[in-house]
Amino acid sequence: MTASAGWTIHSIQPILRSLLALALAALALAPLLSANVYVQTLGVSACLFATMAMAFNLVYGYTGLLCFAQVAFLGIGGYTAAILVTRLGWSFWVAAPVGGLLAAIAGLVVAFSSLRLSRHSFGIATLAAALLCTIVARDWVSLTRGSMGIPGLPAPEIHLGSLDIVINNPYRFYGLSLIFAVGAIAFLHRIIHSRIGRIFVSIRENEPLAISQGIDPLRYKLLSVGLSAFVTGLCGALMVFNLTIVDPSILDFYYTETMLIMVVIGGPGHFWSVLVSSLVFSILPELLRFSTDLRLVLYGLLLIAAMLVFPKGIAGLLEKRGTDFWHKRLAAGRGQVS
Amino acid sequence: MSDICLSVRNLSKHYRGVKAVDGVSFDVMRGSITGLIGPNGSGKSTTIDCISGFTSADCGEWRVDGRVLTGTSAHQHSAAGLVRTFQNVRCYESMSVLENLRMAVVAKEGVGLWSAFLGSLRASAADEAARQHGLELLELIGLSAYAEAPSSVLSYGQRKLLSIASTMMSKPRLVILDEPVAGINPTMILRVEDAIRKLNASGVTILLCEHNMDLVMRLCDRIIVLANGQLLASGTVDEIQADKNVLEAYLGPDHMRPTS
Repeated sequence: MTASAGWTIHSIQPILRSLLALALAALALAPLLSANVYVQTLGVSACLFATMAMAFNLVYGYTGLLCFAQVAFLGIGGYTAAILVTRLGWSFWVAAPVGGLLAAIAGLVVAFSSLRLSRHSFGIATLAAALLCTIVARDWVSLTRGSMGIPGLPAPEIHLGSLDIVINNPYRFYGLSLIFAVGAIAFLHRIIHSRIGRIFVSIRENEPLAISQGIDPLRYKLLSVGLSAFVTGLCGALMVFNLTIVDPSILDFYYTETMLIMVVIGGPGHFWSVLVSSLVFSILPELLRFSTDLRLVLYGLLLIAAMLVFPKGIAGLLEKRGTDFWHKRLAAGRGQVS
Repeated sequence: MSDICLSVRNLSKHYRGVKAVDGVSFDVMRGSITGLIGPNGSGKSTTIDCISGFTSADCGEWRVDGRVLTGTSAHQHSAAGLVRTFQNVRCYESMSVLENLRMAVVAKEGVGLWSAFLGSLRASAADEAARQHGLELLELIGLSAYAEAPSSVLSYGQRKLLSIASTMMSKPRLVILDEPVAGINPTMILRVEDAIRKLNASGVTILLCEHNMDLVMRLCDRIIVLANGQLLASGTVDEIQADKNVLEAYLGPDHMRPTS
């Protein structure tokens, strides 16, 4: 092996990961140590957006399926949990997973019907599903109360023996969101770095080759969509109970757009860079509030700059360093390396 | 068990009236390297696409080691031991060369959500075994120096070698090689030839679809010749070389004898 021709993603990965873990831990603790309600609320938002982005990364980044229905899964999770709690008196802790399950089932139905045709059909079908959910939320008034939404969602409660905790303030809700985000992201990390994750990537990279090696792509695509929809549905449930209301705005295209930005700038199919990107883009709009008039302009300029500097995302830049290193090494060793 | 590894009967595939493959029948003997040749448009690619499950045939039946694969999907063909490579060489570019080989094992074994999540010791042991096997194969085909390199840095010829090594990883019964030396230099052709011999020596039956007649004549035990979607001739290398119709129509006078 030749001497290193410079740092590569592989050579600095352990250091990067350690630094990143420390930074994330510090960032996660900040809202818990702060008495500032604004910081805590921002923390809740960052936790939920990071989880949504990682779930979207699973289906888009790793499996290569551009799914526009993430926002529909968010809405289905939110509305299901809200309706089950307010109309049927279910506990939040049961209603939220049921919301996630219903979102997963919706995802499987859309995916099963469209993926048998092509990836493009999947994109169109998921877009249609998202629009359909918006119409249902707005026009099925007897179920969703239309544009008025379902307000006054009760705070989730925990009863453990003599311990009674009502999650009714931003500090507590941040604690719940943090636990959920860490659990969900750890779950996604486990999946992505397992054999299943490698199969997802193989389907994205070269589906005919994957098929020729024995992979049933439909089965694994459905699995990817189902898992992603389940996690996003759970996010929806948490989101509406944090806001104490669910209305059709949860199905706004803004959420789809934000998830896309987080994943594309981070680097689709990469874990840590998308996590960092999701946190940055959760906090960035708030940091730009110093100028209300120029906020969106600045946000747009930053996005353009990011796309110019990182056309393949942050991870793409690091990956290119790795590939360049190998090209140099092979060029140097040509004639010696067989 | 019969000596026939692949049996194809009355295979037909038409495209809007064009008879791409028209009632083709042939056998591939177990342990052999059988060539599938013919000029462009003779139906070779359609034939291998059909018998590997990538294109649905209009009619016909094919079996691998007696198991009927007609009507099953492409990934089920692989599960039954029929693996193929592609004319346009394919690999997983974001993965390392070694990971590409390990994928062949992962793909063959499949994995359930539960076992993937729990990451059982059995899976870890299987991964380690696949890694060792992959390193051995890379040594065998002369790519061990590239084990940790992303496969995107490999040359076209090296990718062809990698695709053959990938088929070795999954320990198939039958491998269909679709133009394994197309577009690569003479030195690399010899390395690919060596890899094919090693694949065959490991007990794998090979159906070689190729335009390089020198290679076909050197490697193959038997040859199947297609023309206009139909079977023109089938036999040993000597029989095909002696067949005037084949020589005149497809091989030409320069290929009367192997060059080495």
